[in-house]
Amino acid sequence: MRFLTTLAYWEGAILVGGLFCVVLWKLMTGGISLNYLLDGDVRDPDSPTGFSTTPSPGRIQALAVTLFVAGYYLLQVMHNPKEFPKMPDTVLGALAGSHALYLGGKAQAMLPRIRDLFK
Amino acid sequence: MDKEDRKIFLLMFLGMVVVTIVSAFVIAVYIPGEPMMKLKLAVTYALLVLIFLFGFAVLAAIASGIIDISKLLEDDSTAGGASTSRFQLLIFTFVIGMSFALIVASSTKLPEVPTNILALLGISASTYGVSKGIQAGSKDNANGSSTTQNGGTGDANK
Repeated sequence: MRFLTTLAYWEGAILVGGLFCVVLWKLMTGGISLNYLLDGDVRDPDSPTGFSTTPSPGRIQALAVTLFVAGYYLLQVMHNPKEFPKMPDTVLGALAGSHALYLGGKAQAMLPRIRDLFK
Repeated sequence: MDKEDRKIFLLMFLGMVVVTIVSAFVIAVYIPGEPMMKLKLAVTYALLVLIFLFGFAVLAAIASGIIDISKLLEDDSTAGGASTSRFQLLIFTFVIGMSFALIVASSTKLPEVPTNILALLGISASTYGVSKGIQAGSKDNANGSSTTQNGGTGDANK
């Protein structure tokens, strides 16, 4: 029975770790494109498609907060890998606020009715 | 996927099933013990082997490019590039998935998932969902305005 547990452990480790490694490898080698990750669409009447792209501060802050929270979470798990760590409400609030800001900026830039509110 | 790839996949699938059946048979015949216990062990080992082989085949297909994940992070924006909302969802899914695997391996039991972890995943997935909604709404608005500009015919290329 112990061999069965060990086998299941290694199987899970190889499959989950393997998927992680394949996606990471594709991200590093350009197999999964990260181009325009920080660029956002804005409505542009002069453009043939009606939109143009520009670097977006909302995306940059959302990405920074996401990486911070993910790193913080991983550190907590590494310190105590016996149970899920408790995430402080302030960190969750910061993440929610950051994503709300990103989505609000995107909506303001892309939806004309919301955009008109700020005119 | 062309005909040759399909043939290879069919052969791989048959090979996996054969390996699974052989491993179950070996355990059922050669492991000593009560028949019921042997049956349980044979089925459990067979399922483990089958899941591993299927998972490994999918991983190999992704790595070799037969399953194309090059557009995993792309959305249908103007630039056609990567999407921040998809990227953050990928990061949180991986981080929590890897943590779950690590915790299960360390404690050898299924852990209780705290509500704030579910909230974390909820925030991440909601961001992706709302982002898609905004994108779809803006496309509808753009189509609507081009329809109006073209005399309500609905053809922007006229």
